[in-house]
Amino acid sequence: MLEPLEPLIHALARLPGIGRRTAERIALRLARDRSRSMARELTAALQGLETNIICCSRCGAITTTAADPCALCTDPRRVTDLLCVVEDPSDIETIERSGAFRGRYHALMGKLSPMRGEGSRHLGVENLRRRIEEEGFTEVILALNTDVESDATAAFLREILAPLDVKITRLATGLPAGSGIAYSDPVTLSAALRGRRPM
Amino acid sequence: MIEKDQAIVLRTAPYSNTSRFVLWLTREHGRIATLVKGALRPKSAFIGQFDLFYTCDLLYYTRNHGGVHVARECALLKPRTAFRTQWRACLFASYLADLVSRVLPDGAPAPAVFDWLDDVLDELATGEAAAETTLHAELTFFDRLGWRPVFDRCAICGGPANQTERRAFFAAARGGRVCAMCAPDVRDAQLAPADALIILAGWQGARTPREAKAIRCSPRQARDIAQLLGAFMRHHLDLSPESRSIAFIG
Ligand SMILES: [Zn+2]
Ligand SMILES: [Zn+2]
Repeated sequence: MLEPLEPLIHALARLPGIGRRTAERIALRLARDRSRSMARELTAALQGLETNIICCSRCGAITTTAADPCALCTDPRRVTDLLCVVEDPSDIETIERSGAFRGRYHALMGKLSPMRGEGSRHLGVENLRRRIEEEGFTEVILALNTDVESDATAAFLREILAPLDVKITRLATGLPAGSGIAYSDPVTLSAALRGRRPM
Repeated sequence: MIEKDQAIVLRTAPYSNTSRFVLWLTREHGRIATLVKGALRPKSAFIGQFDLFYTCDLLYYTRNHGGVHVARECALLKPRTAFRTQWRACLFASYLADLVSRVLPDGAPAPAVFDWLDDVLDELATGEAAAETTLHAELTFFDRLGWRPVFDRCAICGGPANQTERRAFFAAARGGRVCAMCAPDVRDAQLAPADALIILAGWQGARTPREAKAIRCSPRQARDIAQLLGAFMRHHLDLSPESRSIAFIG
């Protein structure tokens, strides 16, 4: 019965967080909509994405072909000497939403992870190095995740960027907001202790 | 049913906003997959208890149908924090975890492979000679799978490896070193640096890990050895994982 839907199910199941079951549910829902309005809306949105949406050629943030480099890269009101390096464009969104950072961004588009097929060559380190030299940043903030491979990636970047005349910092790690000592694991707790500051 | 086992984290992936999918190598139950529900909630008992290359005590509910079990409790035994700063060692750990997850089938007990990986990760976490450690580990891994390449004699005629021989040969399909006399009759025999073959024979003949460790190789020799073992792996395991070339070449 699902045979005619197979190409759609297959395509949907490749999306992050969508398994075979969910893909089938979505495909069925679209198929039984007589008005076709859902499918039409989705088609138009996907076509729009295919032609208009890209990752900023400078920082990697999601932007449109008409605005490349993106507003984050060109907005003169933003701080121009701070560069925040993240793994993924979605991290840029998250940090922007926090309102805590007003500088420039750079998305690596991955991390050092051979098991995922990502090595140092995939991270576009040359690009990053060139930006730091050409755009005159005084501080590079490594805002990577805190899993093993992200930490290793930060160590790698620190080594690669060390010869450049720029201060390199890493986001502090510590106890999550709303959590307590009793709930924390040894790795987090020792990082929090090392990262303690005077008050 | 609830199972309890020691387990090494081979791979993790997001499952939902707060849950994760984790692939483990367990000591008694081989490779298994579990969901870790609520793993990312701030007060989850799982927070910080598992990450790549950790060895943990794992308690899980078995689900026979879907194949994916559900973790109930996890306590870390060895976090191997050195991988967080020793990025080269981390690349090799990532490759070896990938290798194990490709080679082992789901749910088939492989305690020898578990012990092997646990030891190799400990060794890599010292941060020293990561490439050598990995090459030596590949050799012992082949051994545990029942593939033992021959380096100390000719794999065809059994003639002793001539230490003074300049031109040595290697034939993955024939299982190892091939002497100059036999080489012309072997189709896939490739010229191989004699010093690399001698190091491999030394590693294989070592009676203790410490004895093997004492046999060092230069970066050039490591590249040659990686090439030979890569050919062996391609032929006998039908594998040439991208993770391997990323770890060795970049
Ligand atoms: Zn941009
Ligand atoms: Zn021979």
